[in-house]
Amino acid sequence: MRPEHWIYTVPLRLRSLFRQKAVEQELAEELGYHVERKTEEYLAKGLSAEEAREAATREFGGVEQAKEECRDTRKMNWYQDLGKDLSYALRVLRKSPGFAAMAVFTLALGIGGNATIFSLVEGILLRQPPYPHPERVVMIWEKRVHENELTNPVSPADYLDWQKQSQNFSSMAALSYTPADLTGGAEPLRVPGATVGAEFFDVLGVHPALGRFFEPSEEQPGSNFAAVLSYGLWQSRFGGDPQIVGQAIRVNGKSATVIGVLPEDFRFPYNKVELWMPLTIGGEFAVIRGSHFLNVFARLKPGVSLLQAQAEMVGIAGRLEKQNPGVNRGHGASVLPLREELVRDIRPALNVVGLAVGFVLLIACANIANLFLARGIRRQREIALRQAVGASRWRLVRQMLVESLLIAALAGTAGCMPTVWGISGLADLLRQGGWEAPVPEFRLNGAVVAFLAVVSLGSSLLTGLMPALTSSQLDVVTALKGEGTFSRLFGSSHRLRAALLISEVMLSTVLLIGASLLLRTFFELRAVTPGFHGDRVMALPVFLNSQRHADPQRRVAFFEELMSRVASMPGVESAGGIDILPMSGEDSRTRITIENRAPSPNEPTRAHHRIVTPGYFATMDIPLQAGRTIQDSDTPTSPPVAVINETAAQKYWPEQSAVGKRFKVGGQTAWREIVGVVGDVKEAGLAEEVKPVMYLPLPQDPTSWWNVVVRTQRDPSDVGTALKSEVQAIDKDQPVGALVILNKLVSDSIASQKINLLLVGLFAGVALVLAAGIYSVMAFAFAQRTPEIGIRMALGANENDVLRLVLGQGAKLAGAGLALGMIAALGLTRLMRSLLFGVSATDPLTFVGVTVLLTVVALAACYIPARKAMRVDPLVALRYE
Amino acid sequence: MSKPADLVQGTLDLLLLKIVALEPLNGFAISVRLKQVSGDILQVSDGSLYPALHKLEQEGWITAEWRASENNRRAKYYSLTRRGGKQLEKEADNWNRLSAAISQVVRIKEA
Repeated sequence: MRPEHWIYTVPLRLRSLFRQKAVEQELAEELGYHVERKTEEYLAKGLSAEEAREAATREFGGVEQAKEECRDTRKMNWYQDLGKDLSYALRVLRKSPGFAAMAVFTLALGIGGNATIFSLVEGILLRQPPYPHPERVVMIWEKRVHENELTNPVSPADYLDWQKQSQNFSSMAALSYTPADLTGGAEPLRVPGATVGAEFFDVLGVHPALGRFFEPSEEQPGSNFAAVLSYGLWQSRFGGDPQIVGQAIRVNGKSATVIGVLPEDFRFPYNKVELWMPLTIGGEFAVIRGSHFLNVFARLKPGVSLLQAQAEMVGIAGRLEKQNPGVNRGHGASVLPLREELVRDIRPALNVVGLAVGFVLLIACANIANLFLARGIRRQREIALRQAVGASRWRLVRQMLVESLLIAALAGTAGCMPTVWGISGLADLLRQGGWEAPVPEFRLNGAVVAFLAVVSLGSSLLTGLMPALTSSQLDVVTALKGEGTFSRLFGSSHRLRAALLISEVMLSTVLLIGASLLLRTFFELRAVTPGFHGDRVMALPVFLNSQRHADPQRRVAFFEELMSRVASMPGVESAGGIDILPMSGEDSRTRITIENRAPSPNEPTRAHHRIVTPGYFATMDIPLQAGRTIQDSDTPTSPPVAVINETAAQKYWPEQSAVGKRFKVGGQTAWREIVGVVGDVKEAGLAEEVKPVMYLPLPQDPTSWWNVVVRTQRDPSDVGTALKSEVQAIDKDQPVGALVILNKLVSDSIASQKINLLLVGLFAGVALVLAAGIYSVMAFAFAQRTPEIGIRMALGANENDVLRLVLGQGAKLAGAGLALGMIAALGLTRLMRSLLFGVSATDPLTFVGVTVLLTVVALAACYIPARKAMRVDPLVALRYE
Repeated sequence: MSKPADLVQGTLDLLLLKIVALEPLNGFAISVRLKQVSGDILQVSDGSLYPALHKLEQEGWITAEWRASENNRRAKYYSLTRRGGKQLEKEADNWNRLSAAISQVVRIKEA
């Protein structure tokens, strides 16, 4: 029964809150009217105007006081009721501290867990990057549908055409990541850098803290080399020198002028770029259409929608495809908001984890609702009494809601602590796990606290409302007399309890299935061999900048000398080198042309491209399967050769030996002969498919990028320093990168799967514990059935009958929950598909396994109270009240 | 003339509800009518009248409306709500039971 007086009182109370002045005026007017009428009466009796008014006022007995009391009646109702309910709730909870503690604890865990995940979601998905109107900043990618590549980098010629032909962007700029070697002055240092178009900072909407940003004239090759520093670099390497603008520094062997410094709060989300240089793609670069390495950023013009921009770019790309039929075949374009870039990879994981933790909260709420319900049944006499003396049902429900609100408020406050721990734990976990995207600073901020409050409120309603409504709906007289079997009194509450138990089992089922799938994924991944042995293998990156080592043969000579020095270092078992390490996140690939074979019209013939020295395969322990590996005899003057991996051999020369076959690399004119086939290496990661790879000898394909790979005899801690000194013995100004441990690369490549498993597994574990807490609820439930059980036993039912009765009921409920859970899981696990490896989202083994597990748990949870029920002495049961 | 303080707690509410049930009235008229229908025995002091009326309004038992009174001035007229009617019934019942019980006790003849 909804009290209709709400229609009157709520507007009243709102009015006294918000229109106080009007209400005061009315009060004065109302009492004034009364005094006037009184005055008139006295006038009529013959007093003078003055005396009449005096008498009237005196009789009133203090107008101001009366006004005050009227005001009090308004306030009193509101606070008074709430205060009464609150103190009552406190008393009630204090009487059953065990229940209160358990409820608060359970709910705090659920709320805290959700708040932690929410803070992650908020930091990644919701918080906007710190630019003006960040939603208008987009990235434009090349899209190759038939190759399933939706975010491919762009070639310079395409980019320039895009820039010329598009109308929907107020600014557009390209970016290419390049490390920057800073020399001259202090120690040589390599920092992450980027070359960007002049409009880049306009796209983002950033203003310099010092100096200025690039001008279009600085994009032309041959102009004075300008550089912009990040705030951090300015402070750390240049001491925050206020005169830094205009100073010359040495970058990549060239002299550069510092023209500006970025503000301290500038964040470029993808890489911690410290040094920005102008992108020079004028001149000869402008016509390159086959080489794709640019990231394109743009800002939408005001009033232009993303869809409009997308449509325009698709049109432009189509035109370019027609104009450049060979090179641009199948190249479309896609426009994505900047934030997409950051979240794209982790959105499925976030969805799954968010759902999982939400389930945990729901299970906790169901548990507590059940407990409230059970308590409501125990308190039936108290409830009946209060109704008998006139409390309306609404008041009782409200009072019980205050109880659940109190518990939820306590739980929400208590939940702050696990949230704080959870957040820092999660941040550590992500960082250690080699999270690729930078970990956003997520912390207990206003949004998270607000979320905590909202979730607490929601939980209190969820846990308290139904039990309150159900408990207060009873037959007062019968309840007072303490008669009647419980099921007759509380039919609807039994149904509610059954529904709660079924939903708990259902949610737990889904969670357990999800966790099991992730567990199997993890084990499948761990069983995958990377194709090499990484024990005691380390690598040091060295990048030779093109200025100092312009001549390719000089670069080769440098690396070859380096390799021979390293190979003879004490403690080094074997050494080799490669330009791109496996699982490093970097890649290079080109088209190849196979001898005596026409290029296939639809799928380009490609291989991934690596450059090695002879010791590499031995150092990494990659098996040779046919022919020979790269040798010292492969020089610039000897015939061009290549070693390919097994996948390439199978793909391009199936059923034959690939050794002796020939192919051309990219646009080169010379045919290369395949001299050997080696085992596959999981270049892209343990979970990724192996692609065809070709390994070319360093002298025949000079490179500036290099990784010195060594396998040491023991695990020395100073390998890095030793390698570095070898490098600097050749050239004291040559910077090196950070030491890489191969095994860490391998484990980092499955870091995200590990994290997923940990999180979801944690939640599933909690869910299982809570669901096993069904036992405690079952215990209540069957304790309530004790009189029935006693009667049945008195009437001749033996222990087994009782056991069957109890187990049967429990099994029915659990079975319904399981069935529903299976159906829900079948639908929901497809959300997880991108997180799985080696196991399908509807893997039957997992489903069956979880069924068995939960059935066992459910039956055990029923069994214990069933045994207690069995042991009940019928006489005691009958006397039970 | 019995002062309101002598009345059992809560009967003021009962009286006010009943008066307003008969016809919508403003505060002044209510006090006059109460005096009238009780034969001058029951009077409520001005100072306690309005707080009581406001409390009844907050409970949702009476509702108020500003109207023009006989002499064309504005006054706040109170009328009974449906819920107020139920409350009136309840309180009247209670009162009857109470007063019957008291009368019964008082009528006991000394042995």
